[in-house]
Amino acid sequence: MVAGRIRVLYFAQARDEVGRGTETIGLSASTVDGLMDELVLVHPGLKKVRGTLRLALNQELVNGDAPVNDGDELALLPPVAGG
Amino acid sequence: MKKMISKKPLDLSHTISHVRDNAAGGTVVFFGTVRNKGKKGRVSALEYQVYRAMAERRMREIERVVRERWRVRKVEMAHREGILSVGEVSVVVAVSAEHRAEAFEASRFAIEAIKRSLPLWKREVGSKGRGRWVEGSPIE
Repeated sequence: MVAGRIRVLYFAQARDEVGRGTETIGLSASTVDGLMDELVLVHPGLKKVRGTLRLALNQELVNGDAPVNDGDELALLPPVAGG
Repeated sequence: MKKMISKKPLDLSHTISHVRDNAAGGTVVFFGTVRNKGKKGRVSALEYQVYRAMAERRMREIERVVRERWRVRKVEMAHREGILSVGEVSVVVAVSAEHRAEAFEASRFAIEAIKRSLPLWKREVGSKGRGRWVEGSPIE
């Protein structure tokens, strides 16, 4: 059952695997982990990088058990290297 | 609101004028530049990708912590986005304070926090085109 929509943002290696920077998907999962399971099914290339990612929900770092809701923004963040 | 992530070249004289303060006795300006050498040889440019909204939010948070921990007058931070050639300024931190110790400590804290906690990625661009993303650390 689709209970809403989520905006997903991909960066660096995750963006390379998916082939785009952002997409909006129907939400049927109730947690971030559940959502990630769905994303890996749609974009199998994410399997390679999933273990390296940290996840941000609405710009705050979260763990996999965080609940997701309609209208949330999930970002997949590979290890960072700024400066 | 201040623009902290910039697609345009960072202007250091602009930064310095922003942290000038008559109550300040010391100002520290740190800027990072694109180096011509990477782990695997020569680099001609770096491409920076940024999660802009979260990066700017975290930079404001870094400034808040700086102001909480040190007596500083003015704080400026900015980071580039996009493709930068060797020698271009990628990041700048400037802090003015009544005394130099605070300015040094606060600016050091800020640049290290920028490195660790901003959602930012870079990849080397060499003669063979785009290379791999520079190996980083999990965002804190």
